[in-house]
Amino acid sequence: MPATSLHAKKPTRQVTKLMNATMQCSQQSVLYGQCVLKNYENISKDACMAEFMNYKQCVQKHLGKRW
Amino acid sequence: MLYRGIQTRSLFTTATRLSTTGGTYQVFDRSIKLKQRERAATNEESGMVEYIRDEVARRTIERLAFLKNNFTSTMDFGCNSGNLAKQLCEVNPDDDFRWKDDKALVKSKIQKLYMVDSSESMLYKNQGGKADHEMNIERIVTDEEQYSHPKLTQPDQFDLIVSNLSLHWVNDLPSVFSKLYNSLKPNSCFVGSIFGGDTLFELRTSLQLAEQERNGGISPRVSPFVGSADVGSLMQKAGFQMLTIDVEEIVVDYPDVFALMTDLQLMGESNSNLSTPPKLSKDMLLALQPIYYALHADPKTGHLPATFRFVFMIGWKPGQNFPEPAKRGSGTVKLGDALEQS
Repeated sequence: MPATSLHAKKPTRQVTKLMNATMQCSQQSVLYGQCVLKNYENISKDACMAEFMNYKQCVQKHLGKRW
Repeated sequence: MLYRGIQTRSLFTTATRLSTTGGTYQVFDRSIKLKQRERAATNEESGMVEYIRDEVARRTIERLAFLKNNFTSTMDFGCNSGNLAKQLCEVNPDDDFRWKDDKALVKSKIQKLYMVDSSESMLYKNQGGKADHEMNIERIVTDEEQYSHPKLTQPDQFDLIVSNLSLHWVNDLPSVFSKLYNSLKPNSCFVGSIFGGDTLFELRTSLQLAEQERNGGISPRVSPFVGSADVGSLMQKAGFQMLTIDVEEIVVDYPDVFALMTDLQLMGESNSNLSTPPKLSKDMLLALQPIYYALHADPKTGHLPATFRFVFMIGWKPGQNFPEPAKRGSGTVKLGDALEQS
């Protein structure tokens, strides 16, 4: 298939890198998701701040990039 | 003199503003939409994301096979990459006999197919393919909302108009419907589909939650869609009669939210609201995946479902001998008697 050779040539997209990094942090990701699910009827800014920061730090570690 | 000068100028500006907006409320930025679709069409991978348009084209062909009127001159309005023609000409050994018959019947009835789309790259993407060899196709590049191409503006010229998954980016639906009505020959029909109601509600709700939790507020990231009742009243206002409107749903499973958004982008279906929301930040993207997963994921497979809801519509332009409802009070049999008998 020409599509696969296309993939091989092209540099990996930023979003793919980000996706791969989030997959490495499934545990933190699930905790954050559950926190939002628990509060979804009355969500406010930073309601799940702690869970998100844990998750974000993990993704940053695997991505090798901070923002 | 001076006073008059000012007054004419102010009248002029009002007139131009009205004519550019058509007096309707503008929701979508058509120029951005065009760029997104051009960009999508020139991406080699966009051929892999035709699954929804192909499926809707198949369902349209099934509907067309039931119609007995002639399709001699047919227009596919907002045809994307020509999914209808492609599906009509594609042969698959797994096809069952009924589907083959439907395809052959519809294909033989269409003697000339006009494919109309605003994106030139998308329109010509599959040029020279099987459909071009087997069918008589003419491509017309024109903005769907303007509808100003000289080949489209003559009244009473098409035996059938099909429009699949294109009208959801049109700001002024009433005017487009009445222009389509005008182009149809009497006693012929319009068969269309449009994304409606709860399309992508999973993505919409997850984005809202992610944005509220991260930034404290929500912005319009998924388009507003029409409801099936609105489609009916719009078509009626344009003059269509004997309306048939029904709603179907396809749920597509995606491995993750990035795959869903990449596919939407490759289809040229990214957001193009006029009130541009702030950029989707990295934090938001990060937050989106777990929220989508927690709220909507399939508990067994872990896949993320995305709902696509279509409003299918059929409307007729009346002509001579067009069946009409009988006059009020003209019945000779009591309804009660008829019901008792059955």
